Amino acid sequence: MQPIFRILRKDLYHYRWAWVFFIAVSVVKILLHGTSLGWISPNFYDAWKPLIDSLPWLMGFVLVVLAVQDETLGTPDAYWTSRPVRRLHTLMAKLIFCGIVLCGIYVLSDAIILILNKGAHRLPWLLLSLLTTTAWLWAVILLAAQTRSLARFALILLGIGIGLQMLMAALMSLAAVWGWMDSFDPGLLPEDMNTWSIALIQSSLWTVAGGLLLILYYQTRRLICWLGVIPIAICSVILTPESPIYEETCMPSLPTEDKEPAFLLSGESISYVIYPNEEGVRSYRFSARIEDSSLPANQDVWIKNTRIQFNGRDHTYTVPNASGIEACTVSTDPTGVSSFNCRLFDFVDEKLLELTDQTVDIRVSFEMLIWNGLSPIGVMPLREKQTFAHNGNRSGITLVKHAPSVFGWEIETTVSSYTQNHELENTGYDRYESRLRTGDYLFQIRDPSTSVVYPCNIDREWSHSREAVKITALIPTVSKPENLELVISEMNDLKEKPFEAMFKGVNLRQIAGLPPAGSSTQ
Amino acid sequence: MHTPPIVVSTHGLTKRFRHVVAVDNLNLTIQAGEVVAYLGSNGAGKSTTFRLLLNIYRPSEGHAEILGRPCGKLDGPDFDKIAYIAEGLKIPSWMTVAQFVEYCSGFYSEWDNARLDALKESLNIPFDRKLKHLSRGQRMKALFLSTLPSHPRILLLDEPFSGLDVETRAQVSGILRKLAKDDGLTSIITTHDVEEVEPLATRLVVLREGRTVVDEPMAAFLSRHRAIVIPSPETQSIPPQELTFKPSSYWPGKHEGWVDCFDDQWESAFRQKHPELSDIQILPMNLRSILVAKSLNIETRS
Repeated sequence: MQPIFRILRKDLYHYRWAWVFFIAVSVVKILLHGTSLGWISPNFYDAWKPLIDSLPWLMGFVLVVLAVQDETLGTPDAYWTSRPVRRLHTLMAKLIFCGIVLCGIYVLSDAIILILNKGAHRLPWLLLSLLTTTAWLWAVILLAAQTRSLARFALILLGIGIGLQMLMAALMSLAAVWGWMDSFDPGLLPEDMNTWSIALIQSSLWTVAGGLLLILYYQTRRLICWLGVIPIAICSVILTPESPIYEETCMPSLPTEDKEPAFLLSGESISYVIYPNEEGVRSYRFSARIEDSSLPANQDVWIKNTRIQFNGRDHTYTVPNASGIEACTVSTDPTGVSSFNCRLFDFVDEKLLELTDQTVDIRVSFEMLIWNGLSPIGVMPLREKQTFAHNGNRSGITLVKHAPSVFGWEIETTVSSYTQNHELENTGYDRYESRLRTGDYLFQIRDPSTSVVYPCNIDREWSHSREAVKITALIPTVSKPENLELVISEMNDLKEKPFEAMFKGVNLRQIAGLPPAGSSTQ
Repeated sequence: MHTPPIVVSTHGLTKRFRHVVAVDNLNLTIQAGEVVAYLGSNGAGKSTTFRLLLNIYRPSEGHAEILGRPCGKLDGPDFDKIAYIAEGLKIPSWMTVAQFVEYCSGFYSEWDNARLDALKESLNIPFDRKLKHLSRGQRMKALFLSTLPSHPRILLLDEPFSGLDVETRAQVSGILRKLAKDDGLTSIITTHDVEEVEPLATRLVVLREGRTVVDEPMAAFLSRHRAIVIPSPETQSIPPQELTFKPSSYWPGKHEGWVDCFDDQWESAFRQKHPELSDIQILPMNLRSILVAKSLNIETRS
């Protein structure tokens, strides 16, 4: 043990200033995510969050690479290989060093954030994060042990990245050319296996097997040992729901022409409203009344992954998938039929005028998220810099502004979410998509004076690295937001239900009240 | 009579790098106390041999043992009594000399601080200066300080004199001589500075293209080589093939050469055969001139 601690002590001393900086950054990260965001301005938060989030991770890996390269195996000129130091002792010292980086600081800071954000019960799930990071770490240690400088390490990493990308592209091309995509069915996993179990199996597989291979490599210094990675990689690819192969082969595709959807609806159920969009251009927003007797009455459903396809005599046009989540309130008529009004697509003025009088069939598909009751977890005044913590996450309101394009108010919240909500994934299983990256909460606006609740739509802010959630609420413009409350609830027993429908023979010009094509004098 | 134990032995040791044979069928046995000058031109396979002995490289064929351990199994504690000092070793340059020596000392089972003090005194090295701020010679001295106090049984030196000034060379030579004399330390020294190694070495091994071309005691090697100089102009008409010594092209136009089988018998036989060469001079050669003469001779013949 003595040589291990001698090497470790040397490494800790050598990188003492990096440690100080690393710890300081981690403390800032804890302050940023684990305490009230109220004292930080949104601009400051936006500017520093990407850096503060990525720096500890980046620094951790750079520290590991530098420490491993101090006792490299990648050159015959390393002094330590001819000193009375066992190679395995060196590896152990480096692993302890990595353990301090990961457990002592990186995971510990995440654990503190979870505790501060009232998510102490989720601490065991950090084990998965640790396992995943450790699995990556083996590869980093191997590469670092093989290289003598950070620059070489980075170059090799880049080369491997490009190589893998090319390999993946080649495989995808071959699969597409020979039609493997259609016939591929992993079929190895039980249907009720959830993402978390797969991730745990994968991480454990990589961690154990990678660790054994690393020990074998340090002992024998034969790079051929790493061929053992191939079977693990194959297992891992098969198990990975997020891998491109899996996605391409298993993701549900658009409904095909020859397959009749479950519902055939009349175009009469389509309506529209006119609004000026963000650029001030007049737009038509088309909505439809969707009826489904199986829906729970008088509660919200969430609509996501809406896909629209126009099939006309002249052309076919597909509206890109919507990335946001739309909240729709289900109402039940006296005959007992439940229905909700669902936003379909937007057309700007000019584009609608270009349309002919030809009727089109509009094929609609989306996923409905349905839950059984709500558990309120927080209420806060609808004001900037207000925050609340729950289940390890912390949300804060960063912006409240009137937005004419959404007929109401736009509220931006920032959600800190490093750890996935595995409890939620266990209950509402969704293997293909990581669910509701918006923080897993239902947002509603409530007027305390009247107890009226307004549903909110949720859009994730995809731009750059900002993890903001944009909530749009249709609130009467006479209401003053400072008099309102933001109610945050968790959905109980969240389930997903696919929906497909087709509107036959729709004339959008007619629905929009435009004169027949050719008769317009505009 | 007591036979010194064998410290290094190789049997058919071969190392290939793709199509290049760096070490070719090396058979070597070195006994305790020997100081071996392990010489050869650039790329002859000297450093590769060291790396094979230290288990840095894996042999393509054959096997080797050092201090009774198969080289392929050397790890950790096996290096307790092996000292390897080479030019250009990657050392933690951020450390000061003192830190480096202290750090290394902890790995050895036996560390002689008295010897360290003695070495510090004779090597005259700035102890508080970082390794990265040291000159090449000073870094070499630091490596000596970090290994020699551990009382190694074998010392492998790869170009220890390279880039050293005259004073430092003398210091290093002095230390090596003292260690060989006082401790009977077995050393294998590769160098191109043959003048430095000639007085130290008890044995000479010369490699050419990975193969051993010379392996004998240094004294015997030096004594069987002589330079022959025939100063009289009239003898220049003697065709070289009639001479029993090897003509040298080192000084073209003169009848000068060398002989690699010199002894008293050879001299009397030569003088008997060529009585007209009364003013012939037979001179001892140093290691450098022998190696140069051999090298040129081989090149000329090839």
